[in-house]
Amino acid sequence: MRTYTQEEIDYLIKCPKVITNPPKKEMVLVYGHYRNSMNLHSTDGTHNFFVFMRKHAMFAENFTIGLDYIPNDGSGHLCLLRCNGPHGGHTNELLTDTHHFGYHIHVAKDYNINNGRKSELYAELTDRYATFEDALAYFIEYCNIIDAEKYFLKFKQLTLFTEEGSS
Amino acid sequence: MNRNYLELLKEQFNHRINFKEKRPGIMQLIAPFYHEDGDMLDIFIQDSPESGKIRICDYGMSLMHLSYSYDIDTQNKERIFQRIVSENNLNEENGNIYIDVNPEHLYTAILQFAQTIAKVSSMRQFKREVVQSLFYEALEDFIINQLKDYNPTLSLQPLPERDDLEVDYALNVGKRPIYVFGVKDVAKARLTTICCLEFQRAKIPFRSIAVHQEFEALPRKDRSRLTSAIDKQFISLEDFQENVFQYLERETA
Repeated sequence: MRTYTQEEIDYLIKCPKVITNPPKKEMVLVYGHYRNSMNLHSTDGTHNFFVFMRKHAMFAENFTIGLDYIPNDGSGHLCLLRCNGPHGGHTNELLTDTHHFGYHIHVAKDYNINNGRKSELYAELTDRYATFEDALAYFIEYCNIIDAEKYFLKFKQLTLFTEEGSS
Repeated sequence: MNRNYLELLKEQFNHRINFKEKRPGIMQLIAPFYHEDGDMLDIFIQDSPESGKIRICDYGMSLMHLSYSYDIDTQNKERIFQRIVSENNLNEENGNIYIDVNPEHLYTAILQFAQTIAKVSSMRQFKREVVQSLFYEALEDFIINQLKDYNPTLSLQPLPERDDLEVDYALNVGKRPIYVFGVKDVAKARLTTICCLEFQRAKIPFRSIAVHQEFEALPRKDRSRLTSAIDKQFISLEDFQENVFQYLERETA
């Protein structure tokens, strides 16, 4: 089994990326949730990624936007990051009875992957977004998807990419 | 809804659970039932359309969660999903898994429901790369156990100076052994083609078999190149398991 370092994981999340297979213009309703997806490529031409977006049709606060890494060795997708709404509880330790209940971001950790656990088991609470649309803007900026404005025009118009305090 | 049942349920779980009102009349169960990514199973409790009953459901959240890594997008996957749901005495409608129970059965029904959601979630283990990784194991198991009369040799290198050209299995059937290659993807198809051509060029006496994971999944040009280089192909592991004995009888007659 391939192991990862946290530096590798952090690099993969933050490296500049471009969209190679764009998302659909409208999200598609399947099994009671809306979905969309797109493929990305790192600008240095070495890494491939997959982004999946899900939003529950009835509970708008139940959503996720995830970044998968697609290794070239064919070993399958590895989830690096997922921005979630407050769908329910989450725990970082499956055997403890402690959980948090709010907007949270799953982040891949080397110790989880290298110990055979789900890559994105770890998650931390966040106040960086409050809706799916907010979360998408945050996700695009955080994951450094540099040409997203071509496909997500409304976010550009709303200037959601600006840092706090900037104009 | 009648909150007495929720209090009773809390008691039955020794006060290790709680409830959160998701929407008016829809209570979300807060209990230590988790997916592998640490997210809690989504279990909701509400009045059932059937009078006097309680509905336990997931509002399609289990399938949404599953879809992060695995899609139910074929008839076969749909059939397996439906079988898991129905064999566990639950129902499904537009992705919503549910069961209507009498209030006195709420405790056992919650446990059964959580167990079923876990089974649905485990469908991600059917992912292509997981199943494909079993292909070589299954092939090796079959050759070692079912073809042992042909004294199979594992990982043979017929050209000592070329350790990059390896045969998966050699069946020792006289002067001309049969080289068997497992082929699950394009890379292996190309390597097998190169091996056969190089062995032929070196005038090694042999016959060759390719056992495909899924012949039709290979690009047309790769299928053509391999077909030109190899003696016999089995389009799937099942095809190999069914027909190899007859083939070997003919070859060794």
